[in-house]
Amino acid sequence: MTVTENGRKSAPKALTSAEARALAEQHGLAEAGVRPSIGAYLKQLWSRRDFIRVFSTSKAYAKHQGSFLGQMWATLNPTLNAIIYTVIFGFLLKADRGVENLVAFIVIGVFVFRLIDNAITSGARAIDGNMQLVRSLRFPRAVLPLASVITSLTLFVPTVGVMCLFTLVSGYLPGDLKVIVPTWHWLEIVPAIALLTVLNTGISLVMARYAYGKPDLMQVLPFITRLLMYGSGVLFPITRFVDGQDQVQVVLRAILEYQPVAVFLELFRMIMMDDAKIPYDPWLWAWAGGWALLILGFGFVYFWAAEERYGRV
Amino acid sequence: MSDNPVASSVRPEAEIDFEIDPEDLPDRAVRTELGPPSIIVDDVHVTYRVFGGKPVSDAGNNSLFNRLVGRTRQSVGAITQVRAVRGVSFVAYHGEAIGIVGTNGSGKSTLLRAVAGLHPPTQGRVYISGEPSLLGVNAALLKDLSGERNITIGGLALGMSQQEVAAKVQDIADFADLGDFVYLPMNAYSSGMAARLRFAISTIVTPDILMVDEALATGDAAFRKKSKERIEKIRAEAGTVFLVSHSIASVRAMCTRVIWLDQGQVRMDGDVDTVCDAYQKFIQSKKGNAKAGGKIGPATRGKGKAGKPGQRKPGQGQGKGKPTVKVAGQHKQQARPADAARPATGAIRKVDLRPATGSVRRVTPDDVRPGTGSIRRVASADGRPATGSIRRVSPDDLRPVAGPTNAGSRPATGSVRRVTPDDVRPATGTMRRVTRDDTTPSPGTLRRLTWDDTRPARSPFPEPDWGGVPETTPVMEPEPPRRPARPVPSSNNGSANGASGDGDAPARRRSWVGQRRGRSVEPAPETEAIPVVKLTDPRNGQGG
Repeated sequence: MTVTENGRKSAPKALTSAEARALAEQHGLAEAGVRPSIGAYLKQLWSRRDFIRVFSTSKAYAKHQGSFLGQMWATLNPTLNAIIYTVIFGFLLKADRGVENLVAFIVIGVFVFRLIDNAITSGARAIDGNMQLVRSLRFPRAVLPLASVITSLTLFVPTVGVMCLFTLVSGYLPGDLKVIVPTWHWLEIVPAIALLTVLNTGISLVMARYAYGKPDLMQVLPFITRLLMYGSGVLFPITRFVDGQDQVQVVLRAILEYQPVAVFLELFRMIMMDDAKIPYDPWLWAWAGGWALLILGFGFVYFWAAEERYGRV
Repeated sequence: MSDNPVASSVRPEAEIDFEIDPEDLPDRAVRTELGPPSIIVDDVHVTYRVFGGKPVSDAGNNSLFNRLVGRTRQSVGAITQVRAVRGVSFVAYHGEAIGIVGTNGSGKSTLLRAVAGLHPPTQGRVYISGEPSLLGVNAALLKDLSGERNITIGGLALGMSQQEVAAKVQDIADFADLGDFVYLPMNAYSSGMAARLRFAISTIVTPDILMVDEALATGDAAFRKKSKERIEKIRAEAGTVFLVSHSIASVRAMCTRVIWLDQGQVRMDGDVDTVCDAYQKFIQSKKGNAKAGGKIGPATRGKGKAGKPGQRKPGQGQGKGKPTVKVAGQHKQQARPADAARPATGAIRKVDLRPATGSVRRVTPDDVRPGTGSIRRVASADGRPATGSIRRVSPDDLRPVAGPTNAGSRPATGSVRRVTPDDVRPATGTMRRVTRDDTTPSPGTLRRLTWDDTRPARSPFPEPDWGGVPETTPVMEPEPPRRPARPVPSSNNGSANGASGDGDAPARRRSWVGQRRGRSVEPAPETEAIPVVKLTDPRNGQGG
């Protein structure tokens, strides 16, 4: 090779890795693409809170923006859903399934479950679906699953209104559903949603790492969530089917009853429905809080541990 | 440019660069004294995993069984490891401007992303001082959000606070020259607009290490000038500049050192002139092969080194590497069938002649920047490439093909409006037109079209052998009712290169959407003119 005008050998002799490291240390160069400590990572994440907020709300906004009715769909969509459940389960099937107001039971169950389902599905897409962003800008990658949770939450806000409305109205419909009147417990919807968001964040972080680089998982995921739906008592009280007294049934019932999704469905129904079969139980809050924090903690560490690998396919 | 001391001159070597503005480039980058190292790249490998494709060709044994297995493996369980960068080491110093050259798919952009810390290397290490910023084709944008939102998000992702971003949004929108488009979702943008916005967003924060991917200079001359100025400003503060480019002229003009990547490995690293000369020699000798259609070749990564220029197989050199490149390649493949279909109309000679020369040029710049919206550009520019004759000959032939393609690749707003005035046929009523008018008399229309339509459109061209053609009159019978639709292709031509005498063209150009189209049809200026990074380091000369 020639010598540059800078007087330096233009192709510097190849350094060995050790020499490269020494040279880097000598001049204070940091290695790129190294995962920060968990504390530093949290700090980085905190400094991007504006990014998370704007990114997620923009995504939520864009979701319905491609249509003529635009943001109205955020309300219309859950309303139509609730109407269908009301018609089918309130008028056509008329099955009480052991609860006093099946329409309220199902509407609450379906909407809350959909939020969790969203956390699973969009969490799984969080990295792969934003690969352009990952390959273009440097930021803590946990931003993406967090943002996906906030996006779902933003879209959930109008749904809460619809959920409350149908819970109240369903009792006055023809048919002999129990009339539900709001109690002070309804105020607990807010902390319940907050706890649910904590849970969803954890789920989303877990899914984001687990599904990263596994495109096939997206094909399987709908079946998993459907299984979860039937296993969590979204459309019927799950414990009805496992009420035996033998060992297996008891264990199975405990698992079905206290797995996180079922706990959260139960929590919302307990707050809103005032049903004889779902008595108010403060311990359910403890279960919900415990699950949420446990999954969040695990999810965060699990996601962080692979931080330097996202973006590589 | 204006304050550069070195007089501009057209370099003879620049002939292999397309559409570069020679007068925009200084003769040489200003040498500066080298500071301490800013980036140390130690034996970096980057491997992509690509799902859904596997080269069949690698089966040594060509037995039926092996071929069947090969086919199956292509469709099920196909994972290909693409080794985009294979063991690159170098040390970059403060004050250096390093050009990275290489053929398409040689790993330039991937290397840059790896160095920027965006694409973690599979093996090896990168040491870096400060925060790198990559300006390039793939800069993050969410296409279902408005430009305004994208600016905010980009700024926040880069670590700015919301107040800082809010203060800058208007500046950036103005800089990108978007007008009211800033409030529309980005999928309504022309590729030029999107690229301008990306550029504007990536330069929000002044980086320590500036990495400029090709196709950065986008848009018209005015915007290129603006972006050049901005880069110079950043350059004055940034320590090290990397420039990925296919334009040797810009590399010579802007860089103090050049790394030539080939098949993911450093083939040469050194002084600008030495490396550039060698690279150009390589390119020249390869050119003949490239014309033969290297771009279409499947993305099989060649084994071992590519070796000397002459040894390279046509399909081997191109289109490997990043998935994005592949996407662009695939699109070109789609466009080809249209090409192939054309000769059927009759003017085989012509069709064959033109694209041969033209297409090489067209294809290359498009291919050069995979990310920018290659779909749109490739579809329109490449689909009906070089010259008038093709369009004239094949309008009917093209429509069914081109219409849907356009409509599909364009965003909603644009396509509806654009297609309606121009091209009454395909967009609004593809079905209607095709079934009633086009399909039934199809053999007849083709011929009629050809002649009648050639007339008006033929004018700009020297009309080589058309004189002979009308004698095959039965084939060429003109048909009046067809006329209005005819000018479409030729007027596209008009808005693209201004060569057409078609009366419709100016009218259409006046329209809002027509303008956008014009810009996106014209790949030339956006592609190649990479803004000049002028090194204004006062220490110039000390190093020599």
